[in-house]
Amino acid sequence: MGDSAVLLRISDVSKSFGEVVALDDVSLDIRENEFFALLGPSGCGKTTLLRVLAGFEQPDAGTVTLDGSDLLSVPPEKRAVNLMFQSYALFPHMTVAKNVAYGLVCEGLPRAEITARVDEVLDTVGLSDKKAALPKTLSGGQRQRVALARAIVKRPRLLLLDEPLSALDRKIRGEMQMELKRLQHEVGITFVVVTHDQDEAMSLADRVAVMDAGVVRQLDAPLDLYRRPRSVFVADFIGSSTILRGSYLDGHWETPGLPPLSVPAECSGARAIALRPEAISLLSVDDSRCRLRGTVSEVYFQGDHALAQVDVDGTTFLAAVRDDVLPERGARVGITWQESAIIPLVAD
Amino acid sequence: MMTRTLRSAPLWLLYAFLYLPILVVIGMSFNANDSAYRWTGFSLQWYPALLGDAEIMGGLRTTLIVAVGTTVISVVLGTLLAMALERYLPSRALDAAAAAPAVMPDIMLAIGLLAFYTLVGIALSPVSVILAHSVFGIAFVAAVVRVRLAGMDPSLEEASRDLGASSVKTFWSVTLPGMRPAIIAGALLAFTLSLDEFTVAFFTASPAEPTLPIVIYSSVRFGVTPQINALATLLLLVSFIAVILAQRASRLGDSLRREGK
Repeated sequence: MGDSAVLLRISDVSKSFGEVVALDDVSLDIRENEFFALLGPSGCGKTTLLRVLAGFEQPDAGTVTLDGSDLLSVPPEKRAVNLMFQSYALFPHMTVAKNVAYGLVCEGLPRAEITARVDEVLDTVGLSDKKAALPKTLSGGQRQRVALARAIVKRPRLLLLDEPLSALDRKIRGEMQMELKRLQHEVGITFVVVTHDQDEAMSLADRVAVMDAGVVRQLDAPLDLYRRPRSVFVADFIGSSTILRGSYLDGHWETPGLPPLSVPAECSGARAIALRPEAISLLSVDDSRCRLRGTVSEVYFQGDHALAQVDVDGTTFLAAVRDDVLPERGARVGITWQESAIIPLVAD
Repeated sequence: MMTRTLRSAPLWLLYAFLYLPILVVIGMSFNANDSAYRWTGFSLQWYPALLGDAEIMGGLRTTLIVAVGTTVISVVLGTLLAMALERYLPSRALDAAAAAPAVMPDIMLAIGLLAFYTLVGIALSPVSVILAHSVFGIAFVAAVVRVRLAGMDPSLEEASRDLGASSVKTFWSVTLPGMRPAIIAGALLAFTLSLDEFTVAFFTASPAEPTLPIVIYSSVRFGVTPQINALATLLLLVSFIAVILAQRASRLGDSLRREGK
């Protein structure tokens, strides 16, 4: 997939609403057939970018091309781009079949072809028996499938999904997540999903763009994003980690309140260093391998593991514990880590 | 059980206060005597007698023309006004200006309109009454339709565009069906308001073509007859049906909206 052709090219796109800068010089390439995620906290500009691609907002500056030709001059109804709305936006007075057929009717296709394509897509999403139902009689998961069917039946070059799973119960979310991935492979359409939920982005997408304050902070595959965050923002936003701000001096990291810590040379020039919880191990307090010693201040049970907060003279370290016996709150413990697990963060 | 009946007694008294006078009118319309105040026996004679009364029939004709004309103008312009205020031009000042004609004292509106017609040179006729009634008809329709529009998910219209519909197609297949219950309710409201409106019609109707309320008023000056009671009963029936239909239309809309979310 890495060498696939570029489908959508976003170049230097900026957009402000009054004083608020929603998009600040954003450039991105989205490849043919990939599952792409725009991830960020609310107000980071991801929804504005989505609306620019759908045609509901015009950027103040920049260009967007789809298959090499300009997209911004094309009105929303003429774009080979479809959007699945966060609210699903199903037409309440139309049956499921009418909702799904709507886009094809607008294209003026022959009736027989419309019926065939509607049947086919409802079969794909598993709603063949709900053709005559009104949206209000469907469950949340079913409504989402209708919204999805209505968008993919148009066979767009690009499908945009706005917070696709946010309105669903936790249990159904998991199922829909797998369903979305299956569908994306099956229909061979490029998906761009906008979400504030890192689990959603990380589990669905081939590549994730992390956005903050109108800027793309990092664009990587989920695994690289987790293992190699480049900024304090990304390390903090994705997964949990212990972040130590400070400075590099002679193979050591100087952080206020801690003794100098031995770090690899690549940490020179970093603004902070980060350690993922699974990189930190708990040891008994008198173990000679301890790099630091502290007190367990909190233990969070997570199912297959637990997270222990260890307070070392005012600095909190987060360690993953997979032992059968969990440490007790208030216990004195030692901690250590592999030096190679230290992640240098070069930006805020 | 007993205490519950007692506790709801004020409610029943209130309803009696509201509806007893109307019940008297309905009852007296079946009076065999031609006095409106003394009951002598049951008769249906006053209903067929209405048909033979040229003045009343003329008034009915004018009133129906006015009510239908008012309804058409109010629905079209009121709906457009509601869309403008809700979707395109949100402004508090314009909001207030749009709602004012609905609560403005009728007599003020009537005098103003008469002066305006004289000034501009518009002759008094059913058309001048239609224009006058549309002033508050538009305000009522706009108020009802706006509530409905405010509760509609704006992404419905965007979804329609996204799926390839022009803005015209979007209006006809998404926006208008969404507003339909409110438009029906607004139309029935405008129709009933126009049907029995007296003050404004009295000032703006041509003396040659009075509306029904004006005809009733002129004949009542010489005493209320059972014939007028019969006419009032029929008008009451029409208004009642319209109000019930309007209520049903808007309740249908409410439930659609709730379940759609």
